[in-house]
Amino acid sequence: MAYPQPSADQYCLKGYQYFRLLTPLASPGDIYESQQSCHACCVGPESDIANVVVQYFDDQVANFVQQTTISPRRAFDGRIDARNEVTYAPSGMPGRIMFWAADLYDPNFKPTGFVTNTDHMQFIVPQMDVIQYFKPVDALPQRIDRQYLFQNYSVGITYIVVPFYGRKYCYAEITNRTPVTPATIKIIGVNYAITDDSSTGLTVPYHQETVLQATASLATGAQLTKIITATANGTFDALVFGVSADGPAPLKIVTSDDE
Amino acid sequence: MKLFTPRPQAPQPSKIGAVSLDRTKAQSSMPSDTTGTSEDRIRLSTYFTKTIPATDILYTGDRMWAKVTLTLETAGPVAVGDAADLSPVLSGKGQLLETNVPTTFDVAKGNKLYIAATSINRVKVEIAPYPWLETITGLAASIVNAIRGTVSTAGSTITGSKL
Repeated sequence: MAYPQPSADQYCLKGYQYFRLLTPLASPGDIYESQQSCHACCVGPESDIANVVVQYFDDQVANFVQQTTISPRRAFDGRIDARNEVTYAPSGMPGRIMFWAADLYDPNFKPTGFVTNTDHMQFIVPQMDVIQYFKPVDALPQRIDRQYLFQNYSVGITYIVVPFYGRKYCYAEITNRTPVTPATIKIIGVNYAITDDSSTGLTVPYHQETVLQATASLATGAQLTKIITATANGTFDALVFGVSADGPAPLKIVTSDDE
Repeated sequence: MKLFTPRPQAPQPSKIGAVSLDRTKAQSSMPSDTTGTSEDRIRLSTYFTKTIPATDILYTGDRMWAKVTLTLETAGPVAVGDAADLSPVLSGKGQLLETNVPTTFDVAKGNKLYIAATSINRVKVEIAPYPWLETITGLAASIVNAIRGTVSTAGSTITGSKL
């Protein structure tokens, strides 16, 4: 998480019409707060996280904690008061609006078949982008498409983990530009799960993996294109691209909310 | 034959200040070098409410009459009223400002306007004079004085009569 987290009050003092919380997600347990009330709350354009919990003070529910979840196409269009003057029970903490990612993320994930001594993990750390509007707004932003470019890889298989929360489309294209040796690529869809680390004898985490592209060998100059859609392949928290190439092998990945 | 040749004339002094004839450049008149009295001057500012739920004085009512317009730029809640203690803000002791909606209060001299909030908020404040009201007030006062004078004169006349 960004520490210290940006202050919503500073956005108010500096004349902004919104508070924007844009932060990399170091762990799924990070909780962020805002002291500012708002007229609308939505997922921002840069967000990799698709589901964000908005929690606010409500006198009429147990422990005064009320919450709603927002996603890229389902914003909360209504007034939410920060209620700084009251306190949550039983903690006694002052009233705030709080945000956290409802999606799971495991920075220690390793795919099945990962060889510790030779393979490498490369995570694209998910960004959480939440916007609180101080004024009523007519239109709310939509998530932008993401584009990733890779070209050179470490020795062994380099596993590139790309966030795919709530996305419905992915286009991947790789071409082997290595002069002599062939390159290989495989694509896995991952849905993270909560793993009980205290379990004795646990060797494999509970994450779910779906092979979307079996290992394919690309001769010099050969190309592979793969399109993944929610309709055909399902939805995943992340896509894992396992690539091995001794030389350059440009890999372009585009993810989108639209199929 | 002698032709009439107009004599060159000296430039006449003009009451209009020097202006450029270049229409590609924006021009504006010079600001007035006289300023109004404090009673007549407009006051524009932005008020930032505090996070502590305390009531602050927004306007002290130091003018004869003033038109105070408040516009909340953030989500609030911000309460405005004439009571010295408006907290809790949502209690109804004051009026809640609505975001982006200018709210105007006509405040007479001696009245104070208080403001309270539970978070930092931006409030645009415009305190404008009511010169015509002052004129009416002054006129009313002179009429009252004139009536008083007439009544006292009539009273003395009645007192001095033999009826």
